[in-house]
Amino acid sequence: MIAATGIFIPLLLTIVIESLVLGTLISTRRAEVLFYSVLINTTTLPPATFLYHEFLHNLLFVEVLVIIAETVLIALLFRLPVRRSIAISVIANTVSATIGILIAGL
Amino acid sequence: MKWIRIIVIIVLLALVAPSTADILYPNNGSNNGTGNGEAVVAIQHYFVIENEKQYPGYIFGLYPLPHGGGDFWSFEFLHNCWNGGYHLAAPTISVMNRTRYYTLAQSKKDIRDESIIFSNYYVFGGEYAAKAENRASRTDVLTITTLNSTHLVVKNSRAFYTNLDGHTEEIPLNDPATKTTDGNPFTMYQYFLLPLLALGVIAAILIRRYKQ
Repeated sequence: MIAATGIFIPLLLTIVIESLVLGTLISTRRAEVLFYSVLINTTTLPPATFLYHEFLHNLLFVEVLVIIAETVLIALLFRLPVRRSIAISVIANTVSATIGILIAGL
Repeated sequence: MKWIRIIVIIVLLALVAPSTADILYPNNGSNNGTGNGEAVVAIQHYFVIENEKQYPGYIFGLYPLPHGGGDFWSFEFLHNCWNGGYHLAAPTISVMNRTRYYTLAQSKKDIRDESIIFSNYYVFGGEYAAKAENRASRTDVLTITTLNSTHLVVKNSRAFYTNLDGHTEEIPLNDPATKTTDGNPFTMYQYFLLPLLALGVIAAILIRRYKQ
């Protein structure tokens, strides 16, 4: 309830960060990476934010759920093997979560 | 099967991990944050009271809970921690003449009893928040007294705030039917409609690809 003042900026930031990570790790057109990154993060970030603030209050658990969801989406959209998708998802979310925490002034 | 087992183990491990707030704030510090109130302005609760003298960042809002038919009050305490500090707040909360004392910073986990639920949690964006939900009826008398003795009394859906000078004034409570929980009409849109839209696009891409 408290944190619902806007998820657009965190979403935008996450899309930018994860697009850069995906673009580095996946050799495909940049526009495609950006488009898929927008879709993936728009699918996962808002429910994750809601889950974190309203129910779980456990960032690690929420991140694990996000990584699992994004692994599936990355594998399907980029047509990558599951193992590689997991690695990419873990790296992308670790980077975005770390930067998010740093920006939040922890 | 192997991957499913690994995923299940990771999920279970993450589930039993300590909460983020416990990791970030392992110690109950009593330092006063600078508290500029900026974080709370956008929240637009039914009303917001800012005690500027003793606890500049100590703000609390009160609004009717949307669930339960609007028959319950919910209130929450917000503490800015933009500079890494946060307040120790120990408001006295009296519901139906039953006085309970809570030190929010010590209630790392939810404290639940018959009338009040407290939960502390960290909010991305720099504000530390403690939320309390009062399960008493809206027709009950609810009194919130802060550390510096300002207090708020809610009775029969009317709210009265007494400031440090002893001056009491009624604070209008808005109709809960006209607002969302946090005064942000885009909340549900942000949380659910956007992801559903994105999922729809993903499904369309995959279906189109499958047909080809």
